[in-house]
Amino acid sequence: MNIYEIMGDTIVISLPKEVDDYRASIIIENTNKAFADERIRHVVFDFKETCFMDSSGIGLITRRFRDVYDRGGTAAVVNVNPRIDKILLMSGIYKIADKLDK
Amino acid sequence: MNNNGIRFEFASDAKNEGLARVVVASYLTRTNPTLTEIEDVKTAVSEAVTNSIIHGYDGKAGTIVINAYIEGRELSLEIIDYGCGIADINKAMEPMYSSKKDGNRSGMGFSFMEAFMDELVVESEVGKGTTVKMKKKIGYDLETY
Repeated sequence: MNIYEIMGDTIVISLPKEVDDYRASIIIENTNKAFADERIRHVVFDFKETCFMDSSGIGLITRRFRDVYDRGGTAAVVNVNPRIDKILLMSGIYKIADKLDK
Repeated sequence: MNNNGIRFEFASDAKNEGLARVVVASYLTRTNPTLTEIEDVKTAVSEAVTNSIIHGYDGKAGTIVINAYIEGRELSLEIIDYGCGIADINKAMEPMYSSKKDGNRSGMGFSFMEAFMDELVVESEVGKGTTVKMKKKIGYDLETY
């Protein structure tokens, strides 16, 4: 399973159908090596497949945002459905991550 | 529990989080909920169960019990663990607070439970465990998607 793709200085993380503590922990573990690379400055979270997310997903986004922010980078989200949008909005994630149209 | 309720228990393994959500969501369907209401309840269950796994049992083996019952169109839930308990419940319920310092936690679990359910009560005793009680009335959701 390909959970991320690197394009230049940007990492795109493809999130699974359900982002809970179990899945978020796996994603953090499996992207540690990629984020250790100082050249990675931007992170995009792709919610195309995602229909469920709890606060573990918020923990995942803020964690990876801090990793790239320290290098002057940015975070963004893409392909969010109305449910995910609501969760991101109430968590204040849009203060740190832009919503891309695609 | 009244005479239509359900009670189930499972090991405090993160892989069981999805199962717990789905069982409660399936039980809830008899109230004819909207999709939003189902998602609200699934999120709240996920938050409570996650807390029991990562805080109550600190990743160690334990048992989580869920009681659910429906009266009219109101769902009542209890998520019970027999883990370490919470010393300072008010502190634990502060938004953005997490006792875990690994930087992977949003500290928003209780905030989500409060946002998505109508009532939230947390009972805890150090060394004995924690019970999260939540209620939600179905049929008051004006959103549809």
